[in-house]
Amino acid sequence: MQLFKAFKHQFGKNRKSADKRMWGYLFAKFVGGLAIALILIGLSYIILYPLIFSISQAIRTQNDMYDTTIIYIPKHFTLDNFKSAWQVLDFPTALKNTFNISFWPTILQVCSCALAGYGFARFKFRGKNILFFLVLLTIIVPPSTIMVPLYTNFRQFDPLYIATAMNAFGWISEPYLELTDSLWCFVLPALFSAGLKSGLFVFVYRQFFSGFPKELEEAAYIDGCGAMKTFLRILVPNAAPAFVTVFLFCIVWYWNDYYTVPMFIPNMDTLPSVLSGMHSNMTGYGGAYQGADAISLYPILRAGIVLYISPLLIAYLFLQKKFTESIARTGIVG
Amino acid sequence: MSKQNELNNEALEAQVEATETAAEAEEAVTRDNKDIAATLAKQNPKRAQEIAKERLAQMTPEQIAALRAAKAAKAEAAKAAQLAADEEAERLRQEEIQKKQLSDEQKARIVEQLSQLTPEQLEAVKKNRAAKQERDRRLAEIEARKEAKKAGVKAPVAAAPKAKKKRKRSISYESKQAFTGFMFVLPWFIGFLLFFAVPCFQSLRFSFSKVSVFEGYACTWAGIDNYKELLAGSASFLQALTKTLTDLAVNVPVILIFSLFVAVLLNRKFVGRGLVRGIFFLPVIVTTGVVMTTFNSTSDASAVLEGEVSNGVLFEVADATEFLTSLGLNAKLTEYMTLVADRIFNVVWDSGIQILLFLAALQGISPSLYEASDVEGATAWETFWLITFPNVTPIILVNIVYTIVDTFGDTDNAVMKEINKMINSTFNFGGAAAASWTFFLVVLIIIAVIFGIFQLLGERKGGIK
Repeated sequence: MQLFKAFKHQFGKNRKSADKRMWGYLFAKFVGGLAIALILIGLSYIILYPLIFSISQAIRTQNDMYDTTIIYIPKHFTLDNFKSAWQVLDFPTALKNTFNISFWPTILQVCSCALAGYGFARFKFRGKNILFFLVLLTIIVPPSTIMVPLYTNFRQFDPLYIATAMNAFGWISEPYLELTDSLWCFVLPALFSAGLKSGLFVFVYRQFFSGFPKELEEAAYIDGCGAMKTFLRILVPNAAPAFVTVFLFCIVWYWNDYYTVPMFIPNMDTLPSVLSGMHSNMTGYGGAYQGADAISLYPILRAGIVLYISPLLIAYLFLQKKFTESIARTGIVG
Repeated sequence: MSKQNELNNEALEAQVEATETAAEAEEAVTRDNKDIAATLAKQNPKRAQEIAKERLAQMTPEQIAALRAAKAAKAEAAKAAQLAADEEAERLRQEEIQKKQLSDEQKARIVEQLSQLTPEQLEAVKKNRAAKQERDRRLAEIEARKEAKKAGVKAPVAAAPKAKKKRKRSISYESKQAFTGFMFVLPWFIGFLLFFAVPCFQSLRFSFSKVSVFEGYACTWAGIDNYKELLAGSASFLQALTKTLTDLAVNVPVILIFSLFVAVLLNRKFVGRGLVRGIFFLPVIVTTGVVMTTFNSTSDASAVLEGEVSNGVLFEVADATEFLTSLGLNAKLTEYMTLVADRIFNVVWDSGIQILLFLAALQGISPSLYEASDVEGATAWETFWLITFPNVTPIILVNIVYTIVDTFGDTDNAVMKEINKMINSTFNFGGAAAASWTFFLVVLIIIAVIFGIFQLLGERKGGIK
């Protein structure tokens, strides 16, 4: 109605042609809207396809797998596949391990990267640009480059011969610390903001803090706050978007990591590692489904995928709005 | 915060100047140098008046008369040019310097003169001297500060006298800030050295040596053998590299165009926008090699086993290729198009972050620009190319670099798989390191070239303006 009034106003002098133009405009708009809606629905379908397909196969019985008339909606519903997948994956243990391996490093990394980002954003010191160039370098270097030396370093961890010295005093039995097979080889790098994709996070924080109004900090300094106190009292409470963005990305990347975890902690079963090994575990020697027909196992595999995604999906349902808003406000773009 | 610092310095300088003026005025009065006293008094009238009043109370009638004359001279001096005053001040300073270098004879004469002075006058002279010393000290301090500011290093700690306790801070503000800043960055730097620089160095050493791992590792120098083996020996690495680069060449433009397109669509207002946005960013959260490989492998296998069971028909493009070539289209173009169509699934799943970045950039564009273009009667097409596109250009570079880094860092790409194979199955650590470094060099060159292109484009744009 408002649109109509606007057009009446615009083309008021010649009512007849105005009506014609308006209907043409509305028609074009309708067709355009329809086209856009179709595109969006189609793309949404492509994105959701694995999810829908997995769920659809996960809730059907094995007999339904052979029924060619079924595409999405199964004829016989069952939740047994989830039960089997739960057992095969050892879901509670894997979930607990995944949580440990993603949550603690994330918390540490969110804090340590914020410190570094603030240092790069606000202070002037010699060699700052070189150091920041090094930050960018850590983003570009492929992880496989440093993986092997990093592993050997963790295997016999001895920075600055501290462990050797401790051994000399008789505090530890070996002249090195063995960090592999423990959470330490994830916690320690995260503590020093050298964890998973930390360069990117330092960059995000730097961008955010650079765009932060300087006056607030100056006021805090004049009122007698030190740099650290200013950071904690002024910057941190106002940096929620940056913290949320970094936290979410960080925890998601740690959660989905199945490259470094099996390498550094081979004995720990995390969700990605058990999921990638699920098929061979089931059909391999000693597996519960040894010699079973491959197709009959698909429902269980799909149930495994659904189980794997579900914690992230549930968290995403709640955090989706925050997530999409915060990245816009981080200032990466501006 | 440097503002506060400047203010501090200014205040200090003003203070010192005031002291200086006052001291010189006093000196002048005691020596009955009326002209100069008048000039100096002009420069800092309040302080001079105070001093004069004090002095008046202490002085004999003859001296008061002399001062009156000085006052008259003051009026004359007020008319004198600033330059002249400066010259006189300079002369005074030189006199002082000369005074310091007096011969013994002259010193004796001065002692004689001093003995003739009244006790009050003596006291005044002493006071004067103390003030002058104080002034010199402060001037020296300021000079030191300025030097420190220039050098950007710690200022030499000036010895503060006991009388001035309130000025504790003797390190310059800048160097203090620099120190604080470095402390903020220090944890990262330690981490960088321990978990990045050292492994990098070792990896570089690995790449030039034969590595045998047995309770730790031993390296024997092998020169460029690893690289030779990698590039000339077996074809598998080069094949993997070519595959990854081809993937990249196809993916980057498609992802860019697609994500910009979707971002523009999602930036419009329509019913259910929140839901659609939620769906489009879902890959960012769930995107994981594991899910995708598990899903793909099982669906591929099932497609082979039993065509109808899996929903393999969804992305069937072989027919489309035949159809397009039969229409007489260029074979290469058709190939590219079918390649893209083949990848539509991967493209959609890989462009979550790019869509987010573009969307954030779009939301940053001022609505008044769109209103203005609407009023001017621009079509949607013109609006896109003249307003939307120029405003998101900076993000295009960010997105290109992000896509490249993401593709290369992805542990599922062909090169990474090849490197992992070397590490896990053949234990060829030297070869793996060499492969990694070659790969990194390629990445670096590509990124540098893209930056160069954008730099050139930016310059040309600037030139037109």
